Amino acid sequence: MILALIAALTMQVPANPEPVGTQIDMPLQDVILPTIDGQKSVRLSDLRGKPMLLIQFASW
Amino acid sequence: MPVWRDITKELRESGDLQVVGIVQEQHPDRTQLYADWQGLDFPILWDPFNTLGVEYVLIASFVDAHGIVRATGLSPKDPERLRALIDAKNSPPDGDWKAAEPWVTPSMGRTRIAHRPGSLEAVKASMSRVLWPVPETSPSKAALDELVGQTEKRLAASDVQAADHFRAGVARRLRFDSSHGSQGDGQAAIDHWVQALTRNPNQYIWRRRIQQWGPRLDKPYPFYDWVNQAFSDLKERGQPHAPLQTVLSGSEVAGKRGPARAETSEQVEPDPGGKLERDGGVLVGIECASAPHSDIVNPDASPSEKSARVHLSIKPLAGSQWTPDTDAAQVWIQAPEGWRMDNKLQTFPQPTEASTKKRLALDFEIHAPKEARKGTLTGYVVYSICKPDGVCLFRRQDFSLDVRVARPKLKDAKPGSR
Repeated sequence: MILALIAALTMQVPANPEPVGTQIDMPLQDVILPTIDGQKSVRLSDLRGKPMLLIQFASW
Repeated sequence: MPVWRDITKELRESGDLQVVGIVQEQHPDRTQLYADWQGLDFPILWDPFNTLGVEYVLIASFVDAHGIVRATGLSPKDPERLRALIDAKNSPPDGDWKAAEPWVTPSMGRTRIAHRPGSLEAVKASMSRVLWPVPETSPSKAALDELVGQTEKRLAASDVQAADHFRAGVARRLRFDSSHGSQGDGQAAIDHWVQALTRNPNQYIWRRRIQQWGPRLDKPYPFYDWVNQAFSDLKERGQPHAPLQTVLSGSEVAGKRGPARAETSEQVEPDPGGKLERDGGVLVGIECASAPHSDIVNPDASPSEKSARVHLSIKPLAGSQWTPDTDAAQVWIQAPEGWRMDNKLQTFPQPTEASTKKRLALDFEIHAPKEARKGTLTGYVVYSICKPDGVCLFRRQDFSLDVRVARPKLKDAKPGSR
């Protein structure tokens, strides 16, 4: 029983493929990320219901 | 970004559109400074590990109310197109259109499942603990050590991807910039990013990480030359901003064209006879790293690209500290034979605080002869360091650094690696 439990806990979960960015006419890859001030997190799929402009950028 | 801020202002206020930014940077507080300076009043998310898998920035994409990407590469010069996309009546697509689950979530780091070391799930759990630290301050030493350990164990996996090398570099740099840095973190970060870019030279998010700390000739533009202006403008507006958590290196503000070479005074070696007592890494730790031109991943890189940026930092150990009333620390550098650099003698910036245990850093360019692949730079640092009992000692510490300017061998080339 204990051995089975250990085996279950150490079993590797199937790996997700690498994310592929934004692709036209496909669902937006869902992500949860912290805001830059670390004060909260946003999950992109929670923002459905209103059109969104997603800007991926860097300050450099 | 200010242009997007302006042309979406009315749309956001009317409720017709929401705007979300995602930044692909190592340091979120720099983006926060930029956002405060530019008045970016929409949510901006931090994605240091590139969990969205983007290959370059800037990308502006339109996502409809159903969560479907309808356009990418939007230009702020074409606001009519944005309006048309908003007005289009899109139906939910037929069939299975559910988005893939988030790649990393806060819960991954909170569950104590014993993942196989080096598995992708173990990496994700360790990334989660750093993105969402508990308590909600900066990541702990244990979390950063685990992240470095898991991302580097991952590199030995049979299904390793180029992105795994990138994430290992991000992990090392995060630890380097924290108060829990370990010897070699700075160089390891660069080396991992070079390995990643060698596998996929078209990934500009990875390339920019190397260029951020790399030589002038590799700069597409200065990365953070706006920072001083931002601080100054915010202060003038009565909105003083907290200092950056990681001091900018010279390479991060340098542009492709450097200032005219200054006339250097005679370079006097500080300890030509080697008589100063050695520290031996007891009171001060030295960290050396070199960042190559990112085009070394190209087997046909031209000789003009055979330059590197050398980064040296010194940090008090064992409770010792710098005091501002002592002479500034200096470094004497001996370039490999045939290599070129401006000054053999360089001075570390003086700490501004009354006394501090902070890392002091400097960086400089070095140019290799066209046939070189790597060379060993040697030198020593001289400094006055004060022990916890208040006694200040003048010490010397020697170092050497291998500077690579040619394409590295792939450590684990496998078919299918991205």
